[in-house]
Amino acid sequence: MTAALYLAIPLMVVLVILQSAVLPNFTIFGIVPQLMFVATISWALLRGLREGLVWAFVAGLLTDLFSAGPIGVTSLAMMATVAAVVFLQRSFPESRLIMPIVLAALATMIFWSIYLLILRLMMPIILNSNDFLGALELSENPRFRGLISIISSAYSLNRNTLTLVINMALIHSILIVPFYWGFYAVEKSISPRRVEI
Amino acid sequence: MNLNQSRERIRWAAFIVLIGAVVLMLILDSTDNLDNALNFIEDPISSVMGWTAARTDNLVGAIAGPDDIQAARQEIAQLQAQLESLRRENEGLREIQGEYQLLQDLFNRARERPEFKRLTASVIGYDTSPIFRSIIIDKGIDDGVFVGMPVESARGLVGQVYRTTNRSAMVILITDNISSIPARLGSSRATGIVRGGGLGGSMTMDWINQEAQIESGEVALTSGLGGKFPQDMVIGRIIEIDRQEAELFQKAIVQPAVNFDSLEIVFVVTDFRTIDTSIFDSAPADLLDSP
Repeated sequence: MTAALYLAIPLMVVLVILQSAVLPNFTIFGIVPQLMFVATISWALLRGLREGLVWAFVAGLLTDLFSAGPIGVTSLAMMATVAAVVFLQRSFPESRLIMPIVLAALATMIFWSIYLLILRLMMPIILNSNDFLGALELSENPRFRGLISIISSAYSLNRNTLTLVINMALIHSILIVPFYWGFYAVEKSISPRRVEI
Repeated sequence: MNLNQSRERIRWAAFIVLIGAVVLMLILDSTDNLDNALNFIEDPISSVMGWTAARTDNLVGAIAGPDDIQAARQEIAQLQAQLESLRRENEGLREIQGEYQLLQDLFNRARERPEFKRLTASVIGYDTSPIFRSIIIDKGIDDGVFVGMPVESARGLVGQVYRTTNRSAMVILITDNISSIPARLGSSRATGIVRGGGLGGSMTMDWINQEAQIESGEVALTSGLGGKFPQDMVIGRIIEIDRQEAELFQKAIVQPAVNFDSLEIVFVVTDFRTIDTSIFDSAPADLLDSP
């Protein structure tokens, strides 16, 4: 567990810098892949639920620190996704290529479903705690009634978000291969060799 | 109790602690108590991010070089063709300019325009979540940047300071879904709210009265309603109008004045104070007591 944390923190710091400062200049079909998410899923597939959850917590926290979303939402959604993916992994045949590709796509869809659901539920609270935005105040005016529900309704699986999720699932399923294989090499070097008696 | 059972218990305890930590963070964040506590993580990363962003800009510039030259050549050819027609048009416009200048001077004199102090900041990062539209700038509390301050560029309104650390700040863009700016149109004087389109959507001006005769090409400006933004900051231009007879209001699609994809430098309006209008929400106690 400690080794996972020592590895997760510096790696995630590097990935968050890449994701926020570098990758927006090199988008793939206008999409910035979520490197920390891909790294977390890869590690969870290799090392199981416990270490996957630690990575999800760190990755989610760093993502939220550099995002306008409420802090903790990404951690929560990623932890739930890791739990779901590790559970699904049991029903997949052992494979170092097909299994991570399929599960990365599934994980992206699960993550976004949970993330959007939490955001939608939390949106009135977010707007209330950020009253400087003025949306809540405006919605009290009878003319602008319905403003809050319009804002909240955007955080659902509509056409735009669905397009994003599908494209991102495709990109993540390609991107997971180098991550998974890279981590596989790291894992082999840090884990004690299993001996059957 | 055997070893496996105690391991299992430790594992579950760790899960519960992690989930508890996340819930605690959500609560602290919604009550604005988390920002200062997390400064020690954000500040060093922001510093590295600033350095990385500058190097990346150089790299992008180097890569984009040849394409830019080709594009510039094509543009020169097009511009030369346009130049001749514009010369003719210019003669006619000079006459109108004289009249306009006179009216402009009168208008400027009649208008009280406050002079705001502006702080220049560089964009060092973008939102890590694709669903939110925000940027990270290299100025923070130490430079006098605080939550709620309006941010603009040379072309128009960019957004509002959303979170701050000692040396950096996050600016929520006007194109984000949670952005709602009271606006007024330049020519028709119609009012409404400009809402960010968020993910893949267009910025729209909604809640415009049906009676208002709005036209494509009108400039959308901040109206100052609510006191969160100064008046008359340029938001964008109307490019499409959606008027349905059955609806109470009409709406229009707004093209932002700012190109958010190539934003490098922004100005934080540091001496604008948001006006607290909440005192008008409830009647004074002495009025309530009176018969």
